[in-house]
Amino acid sequence: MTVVEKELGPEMVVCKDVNKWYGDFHVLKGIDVTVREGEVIVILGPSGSGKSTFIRCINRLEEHQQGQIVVDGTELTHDIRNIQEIRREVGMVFQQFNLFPHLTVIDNVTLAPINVRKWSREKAEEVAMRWLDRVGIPEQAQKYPGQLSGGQQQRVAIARALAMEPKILLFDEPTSALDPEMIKEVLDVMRDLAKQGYTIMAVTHEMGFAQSVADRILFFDEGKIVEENTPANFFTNPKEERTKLFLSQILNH
Amino acid sequence: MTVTQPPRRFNLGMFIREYFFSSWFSPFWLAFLAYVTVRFTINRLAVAPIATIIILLIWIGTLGWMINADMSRNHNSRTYWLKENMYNSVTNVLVSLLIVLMLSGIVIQLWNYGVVRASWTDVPLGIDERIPVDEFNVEGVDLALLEAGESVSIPFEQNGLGTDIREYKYKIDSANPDVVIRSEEYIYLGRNLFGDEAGANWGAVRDNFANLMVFRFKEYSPRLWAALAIIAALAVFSVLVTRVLDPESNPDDDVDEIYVPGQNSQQLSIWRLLMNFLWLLSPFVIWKLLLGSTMSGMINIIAGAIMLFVTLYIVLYRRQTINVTLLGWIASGWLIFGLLIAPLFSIALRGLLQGAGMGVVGSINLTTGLVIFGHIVFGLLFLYNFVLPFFNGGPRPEFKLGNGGWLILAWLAVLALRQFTPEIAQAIFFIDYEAIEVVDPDQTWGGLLLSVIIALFAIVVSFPMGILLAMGRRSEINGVPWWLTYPLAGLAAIWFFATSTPELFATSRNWFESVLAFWPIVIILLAFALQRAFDGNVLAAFSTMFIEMVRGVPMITIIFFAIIFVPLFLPPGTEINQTWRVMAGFTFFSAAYLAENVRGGLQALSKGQYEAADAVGLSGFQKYAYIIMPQALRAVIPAIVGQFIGLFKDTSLVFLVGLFDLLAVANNISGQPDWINVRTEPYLLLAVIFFFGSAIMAGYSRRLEAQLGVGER
Amino acid sequence: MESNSGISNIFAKLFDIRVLGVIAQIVGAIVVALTVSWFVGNVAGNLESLGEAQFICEDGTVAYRCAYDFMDSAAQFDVAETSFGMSYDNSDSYWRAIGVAAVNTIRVTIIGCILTTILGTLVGIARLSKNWLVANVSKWYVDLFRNTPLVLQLVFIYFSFFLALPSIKEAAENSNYVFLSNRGINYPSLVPTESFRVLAIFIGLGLILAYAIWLVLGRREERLGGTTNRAIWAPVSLLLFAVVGWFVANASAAGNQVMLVNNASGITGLDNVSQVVADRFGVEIADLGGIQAQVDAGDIDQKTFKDGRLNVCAARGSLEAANIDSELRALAIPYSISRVKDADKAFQDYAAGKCDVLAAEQGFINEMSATLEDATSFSIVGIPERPLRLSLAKLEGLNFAGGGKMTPEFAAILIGLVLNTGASVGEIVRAGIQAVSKGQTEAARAIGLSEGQRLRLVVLPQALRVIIPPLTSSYLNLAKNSTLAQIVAFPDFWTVIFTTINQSGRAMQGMLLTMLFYLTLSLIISAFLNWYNQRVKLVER
Repeated sequence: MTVVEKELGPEMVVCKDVNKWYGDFHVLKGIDVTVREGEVIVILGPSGSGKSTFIRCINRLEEHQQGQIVVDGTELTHDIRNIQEIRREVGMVFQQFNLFPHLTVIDNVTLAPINVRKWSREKAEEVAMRWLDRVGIPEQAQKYPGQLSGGQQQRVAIARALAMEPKILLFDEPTSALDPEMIKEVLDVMRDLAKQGYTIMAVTHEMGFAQSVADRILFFDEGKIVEENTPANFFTNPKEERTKLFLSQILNH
Repeated sequence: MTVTQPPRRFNLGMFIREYFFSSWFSPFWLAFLAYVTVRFTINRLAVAPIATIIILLIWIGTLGWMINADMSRNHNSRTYWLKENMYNSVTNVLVSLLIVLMLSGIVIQLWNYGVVRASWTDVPLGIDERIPVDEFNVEGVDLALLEAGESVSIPFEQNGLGTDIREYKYKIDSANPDVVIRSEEYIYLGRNLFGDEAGANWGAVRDNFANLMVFRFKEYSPRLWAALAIIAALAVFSVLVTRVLDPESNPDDDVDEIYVPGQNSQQLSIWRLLMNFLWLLSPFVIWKLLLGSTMSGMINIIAGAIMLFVTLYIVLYRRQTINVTLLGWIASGWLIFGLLIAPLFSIALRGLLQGAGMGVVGSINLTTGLVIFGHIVFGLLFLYNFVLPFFNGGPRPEFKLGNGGWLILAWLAVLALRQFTPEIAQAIFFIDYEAIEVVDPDQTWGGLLLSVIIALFAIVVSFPMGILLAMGRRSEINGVPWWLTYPLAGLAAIWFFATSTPELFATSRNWFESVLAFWPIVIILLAFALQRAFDGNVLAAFSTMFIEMVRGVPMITIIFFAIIFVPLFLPPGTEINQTWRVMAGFTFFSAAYLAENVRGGLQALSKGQYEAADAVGLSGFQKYAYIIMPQALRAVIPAIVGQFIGLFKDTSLVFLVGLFDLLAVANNISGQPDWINVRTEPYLLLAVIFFFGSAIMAGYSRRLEAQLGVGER
Repeated sequence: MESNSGISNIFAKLFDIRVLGVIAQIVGAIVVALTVSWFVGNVAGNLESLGEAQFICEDGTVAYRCAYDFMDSAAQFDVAETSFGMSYDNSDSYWRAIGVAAVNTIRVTIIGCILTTILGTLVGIARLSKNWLVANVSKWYVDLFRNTPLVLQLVFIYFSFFLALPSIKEAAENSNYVFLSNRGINYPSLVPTESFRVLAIFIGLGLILAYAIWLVLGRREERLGGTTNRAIWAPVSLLLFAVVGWFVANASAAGNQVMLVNNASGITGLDNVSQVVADRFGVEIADLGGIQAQVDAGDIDQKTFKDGRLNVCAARGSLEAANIDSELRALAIPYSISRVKDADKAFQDYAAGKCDVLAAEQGFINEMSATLEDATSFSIVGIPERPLRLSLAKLEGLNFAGGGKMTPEFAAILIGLVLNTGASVGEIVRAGIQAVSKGQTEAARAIGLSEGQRLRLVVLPQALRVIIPPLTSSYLNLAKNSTLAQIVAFPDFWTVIFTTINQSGRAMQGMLLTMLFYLTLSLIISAFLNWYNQRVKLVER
């Protein structure tokens, strides 16, 4: 299997020696990662290895206590302006969708563009409809999230993230809460986005997706990046013993 | 419908084992129960033989019917219901009989008291009449008896339902034996609910019905009817709008057509806009009707209405968030202007006080507040458009006039209207300064009206306070760091130790005062508590303290606290009515409880909602305004309705501070010369009013809950 | 990250969320401080204009520390009712009055909480009854009491029920043991006598032993398995101790209380009293019970009856009076006890020949009988003294004597609070029971637990966890609502504070004390239930 080498742009996310503790528990132990524009990074690892925490640090849902995270040239500090700036440029999709249940689908998608980007309602709705069309559910615009299936909800969540025209997309186990038959529709959308050159960081357990879409795979264990590799090498020829063990466990069940 | 039963042979031994000896105490229990039932039945037979016999027959009949159906395995739905719900064990067979007998006793007693032996006339006692003996000729009264010194009483009148409780009493005047005095007397008045001869005296309630409802406000009944008419008209209008003019689409309908921006946009119809506007305006108008209004007050209403309408128009009708930069600049200009010009500033300040739930303070009245609300909207716009983007470094909004034009026009109109001082209005329109007579609520408001006003006012005004307190208590903003708190507290303590303690200690009269002289240590303890319990979060500490203090003391003491302390808290010389004080007390009380309800709603919200709002880049204010609060408040609506019911019931306490609420009027009836000692009847009426008032509201709350559940899917 | 120069660096620090937080805190603190200081300033200004009488000291100077000095002076108002026999009269200080009232509040609260728990549990279970009528009647009760104001319930219970009850005389005619009248409720009570101490010690020992047996056998069950019947042995040991204690107490009391009898009357002790009285009437002992009926029928005239029956002199309220009363009642003979104000008066009456027997303490009789002229013609006979005496309420003159008594005020506030809070507690209990899912019941049955074990080990621990938090607030509500005693004129803490405020004009001081008292009460109740909640949680794990 050949990996198509992409034309990579400038650095979008630079993490240097990122550390984080929950009380005495050391969750992230000196993470160093650089993500370039257009790159698709998939983060794998056993549960509790800190991969979700890491991805949530990038848009400051969690606070890192040591090290440096620079997103699109802006460093994440305690400065509220920087935080807001970065959140505008980073879209996120959650495991539990986290759609706003009291708003219709279209309102869910247009909320941030109107209030954060300060677009007019007309413009925001046009963009929103374009994105809903792209994820394949334009006919659901006037429904409430509770009326949609899990897969549809997750696609709305993706549209909501995209409507802000972010430079980076974060996926936090987007398919873990879905029924098997729903997973494909969400993965298809993600695959599509990857093809179009979005910068993506995804935490997932979908090995097929990782294998076929990722430019690079980061393998996390106990708060450290144990292995960083191309998907081809990662799955066929892992460097580390820990990775082999992990792969044998998930591939043989 | 017949229920098919599996074939089963009746087994007496099994039956006895199952129902009589299932445990060691069941035979004793059954024997005891049987004894009680028999004794009670015999008792009831003596008191009300016919009813008891009928009940016994029905009991035996249905029991036999059920047993027959059970034995022949041929239940129909009724016998099956009986078996399942009334006669499902030997115990329940007896208990059912006992309860029916008991209930029948209560119902018969109440029926006799309330209807059969009751009086319905509300004509007060007539004055004594003097009849010369030679003209005396009353049927059924023997003059010889009267002359022997006896008195004779005969019933006064008959009503349709039973004997009246009044009688004429004839007696020879002891001073003048030639005259018979006929006096009206009560027979049963003031006796109790349980005695044999007693009956209800509904006349007292009929006579005082208007008092119970509105007390002295009945003198202003046209205003009252006008207020009711406004509500009724609005209700009719609402039905018209929701059913005919603009029927809302059912959320369950399939809306699968593609959404085209601008075409099938979910913009509010003008009818709904009008309906919302009128409902929001109506409390202010009704308030003016109830309290009376000066000319300037009415101008305020109009000005406030304009502000309100335009705000609603932009927010609801055009569905725009108010994000107009130009407006922000104008608003900032206004604020600076206001700061420079003292009178305007003082209005704003007093308005802030009012907004903080201080009730209607001093010379401020509520409609001035409505206008001030408009100014506050401008102030918030300024903050939102000018200050916030500066802080969070967001993109500056586009320069745009569209929506703002309306607001500017409205604001100018209000400014112009505000120039219509009463004097000018008088000069132009030749109308009275006092357009509607202003009344003193302490003296005129009363009865059910007062209860409703207090409860509504408290729940509405405490609403923003409660939300702020709840958010304050839950706030997780960084606290004052310890290296700031402790030195400051230490310095303050040392300062007071140096200045106050020596003198207090030297002049103390006993050991207790000697200890008290070291009070500055409290400052250090407080600082310690602030750091330990709240991580230095002053806002959380203050909110928590307020909430727990109010919740820890009884309602009565809050009311008296308000009565005693509200005037003390205000600048010397401020006069403030009892009614306003009580309302302030109720508002604080309600705010603390509401805060806990809202906090419950906030806690019930999943963490993901906060995270998602953060992740799409909403600011803190936007997060709460668009995501958190709409969901949290929706979740606590039933709790808030429950709290309103509680407030409504608690208003029956205000008679203790001399206001004329329902209970005060009811208590007063027993002091009226015509209705001496009549207490039970008005109390029963009150119970009915409160019971149905509360039950209807609770039912409404349940319905609302169900409806909201639909929207929330 | 671009490098910053010094000034813009400091400026940037302003947008640090930590700094913003502190700024918000400081602004908040300043706003709070300003508001409070504004209030305090206003209060100070208002107090000045109100006059300095509030803070006047004994020496005539004015100082804030003297705010509570007035509390040492005589209250000069009555507190209609005190608890646990506390004494109070209107020359006592305000402190004493408020203290007595505080105890009243605590009494109402404690008794109220206990009764509420019982009622609430019954109602909660009844709401889930399989009997449609039981379930619905309890539902109606809950609805009725939750949808009407407590104040209304109180005035109804007080004015429309208690004050409308028949007079004492009518009440005495219509019932035998419990009398409901417009002056309150009179009921039989158990009066502990001096020797009750002995019994109490035995019962205490029995409790300790029972608990020890319970623990030891329980541990044995755990270690060795099987059952040890500890549920039987523990109560049996307690009962054994109580029975032994009863006899020991009886024996120890012998001779404490005696009666003085005239030898001429022929009485030599309680054993021949029946015979003596029967002889006086000229009937058999067995027929003595019928004497009263004959008097009522008019066959025996009042004079003969009064002379013939046994007449006893005793001091009012003394243990001797209660003792001889119940002993004579047990003998079923006609008797009367003239209760006079003290033992001296009783002795005078006896010496004047007004009665056959004088009942008093032994020491007193020994001393006084020596003063009698003809000392040899009297003998001293012991009265058996039981550790507990049943004291019945009996109409004497215009009021009831003996037994226990509840004033209508106390009864009204207690019943009102219990009925009202009981409705809420009923709902809480029901919700608690329903919160334990059906699956739990099924699982318990599936592993073979008995019904009792299922309730004790599975349902109760889970239900309690749901019940306790709202139950706490119900108890708190009850404690706070006890202030409504003011409406029925029961002298609880708030009512007396209110009187104090009215009489002394010291509103601020009174309100501060009130808030302090009720906040403390609330804290104690919630602390207690929190502690219990912790325990329940531990049990659950």
